[in-house]
Amino acid sequence: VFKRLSEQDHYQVLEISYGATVEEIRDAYETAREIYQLDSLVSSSILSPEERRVILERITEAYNTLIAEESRRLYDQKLAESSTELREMLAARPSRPSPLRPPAVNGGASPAGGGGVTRVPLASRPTPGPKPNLSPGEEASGRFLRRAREALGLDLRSIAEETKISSTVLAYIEEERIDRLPAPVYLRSFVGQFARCLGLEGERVASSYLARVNRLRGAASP
Amino acid sequence: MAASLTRQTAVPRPADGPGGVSKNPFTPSYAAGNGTTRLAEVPRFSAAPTPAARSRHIVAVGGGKGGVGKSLITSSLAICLARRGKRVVVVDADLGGANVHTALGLSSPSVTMADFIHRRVRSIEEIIVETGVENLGLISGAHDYLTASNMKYQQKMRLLSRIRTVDADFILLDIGAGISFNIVDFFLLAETGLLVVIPEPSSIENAYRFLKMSFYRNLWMAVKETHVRGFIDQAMDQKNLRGIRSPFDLLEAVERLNPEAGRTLKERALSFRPRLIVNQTRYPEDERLGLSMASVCRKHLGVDMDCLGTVLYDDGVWQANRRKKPFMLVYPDSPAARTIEQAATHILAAHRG
Repeated sequence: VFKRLSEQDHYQVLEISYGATVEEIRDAYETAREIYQLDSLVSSSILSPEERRVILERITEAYNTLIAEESRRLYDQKLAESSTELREMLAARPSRPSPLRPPAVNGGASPAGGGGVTRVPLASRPTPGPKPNLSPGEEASGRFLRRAREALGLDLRSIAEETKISSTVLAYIEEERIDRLPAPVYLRSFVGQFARCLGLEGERVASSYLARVNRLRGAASP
Repeated sequence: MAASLTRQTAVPRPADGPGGVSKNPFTPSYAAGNGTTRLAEVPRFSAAPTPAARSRHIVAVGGGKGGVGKSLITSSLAICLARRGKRVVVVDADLGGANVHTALGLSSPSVTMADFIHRRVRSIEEIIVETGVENLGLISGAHDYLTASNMKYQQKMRLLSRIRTVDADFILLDIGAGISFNIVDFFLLAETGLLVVIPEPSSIENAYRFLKMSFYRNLWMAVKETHVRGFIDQAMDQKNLRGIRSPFDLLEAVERLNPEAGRTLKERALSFRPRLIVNQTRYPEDERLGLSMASVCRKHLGVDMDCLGTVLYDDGVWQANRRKKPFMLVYPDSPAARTIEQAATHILAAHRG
């Protein structure tokens, strides 16, 4: 694409296919951040700090939009309206029902207007069903949440504003301060909201996190 | 690949012509606004190549900085291609710092490019020497600094056009260090322009400068109009007053003024497709350097650059050099040699189209 960065769509900015999975989006974002961060060996000799700042902003915007199911769906819808070609490419993507909206509810609202034709996506692995943000076998630890948050460039305060959970509690969740964590029934809801705020699957992350905390509790008080 | 010896004139003649003073090749003639340079005549990107030139594929290996392994990569790729049955000629166009012969394990050849430049031989075929590798010939660079640094524009053009006529499947040019137009033009002459970088700030910086220089030079050669060329000159000066900071700005500015020239430039910009080899990598994170540089190029210049491989640092290169043997023949199973083999496969594929 011989296009200015400002004229590229989010997928082009992150250099991913229109069918990119959540993992691919995350990988692309991390790679891009590494390339354009201020002390980067790769970009510092060709781009000014200001140019890199602009690129980083653009990359972060693209990531934030695409990583969360709902905003990606809305964005794709907008893209599909803008060109027939894009509509076809987006339609080629396997359906990725949002964890916030179960498939049954979401059924007819596919951005490509349904069609029901499942073509092989450009460069993505087939992703049947909801795609977990945790890799198989991975545990949702406090560190996992913090890394996901930092990857988005968000601080605890902004998560607190969004979720109305106090930033102290959010910090306890990230630090796995077992002695300070709220009761499991609240904790599940807090972790779920926290995760959704980071574009992750709330329920899955919460269950995994709770299982982990239970295990740690067991180990702490034999 | 017979190499007939020629008159052994010991003293190189000064550049021909009255006065004999050529312009400093390191001064861009167009930057000074003087229109004597006619690079558009260089045979390149011709849609319909002449029948004689159809099968030839030129690979130019550059990268801006010295000591990054251009000679090694050039000679190794040449060996790979020759061993796959292609007729290959390596041209050491590193004027002044020629040492491809060393990488091939040869001592300094008796005939060099200087003999051709000074017309001591009649045809370019006469300066091709054998290398000991079947199917592989070598045109050695001029070793005397006088020839290299005083090469006149006409001499360079004659050399470029004659190199094209060499009867071979692949012609590999080691174009040497630097980003002067003399060097960039060799790069642009090729069907495959290959940059070699090592994971070092100075090498990366020079590679970008080289890329930018060749990118704009390539555009400059595509148009004849003085005012359009003026815009391109401006773009190369990053502090220009027109606010042209990127190829995108340039194309917009040209398009507003002259839509047809704008289209020509855009086509030319899209056809510019350099290749990259990352050499001497030592750490796992170096593995991503090639892809990262390609991403920066895409974002900053709109240029697609393919990374053909990441060649692991290998002490065997040094050892082979000491033993005066080509690395590829001494350590064919090393990871470095295997990566170079793969790069050769890419180039073969590009040749077949």
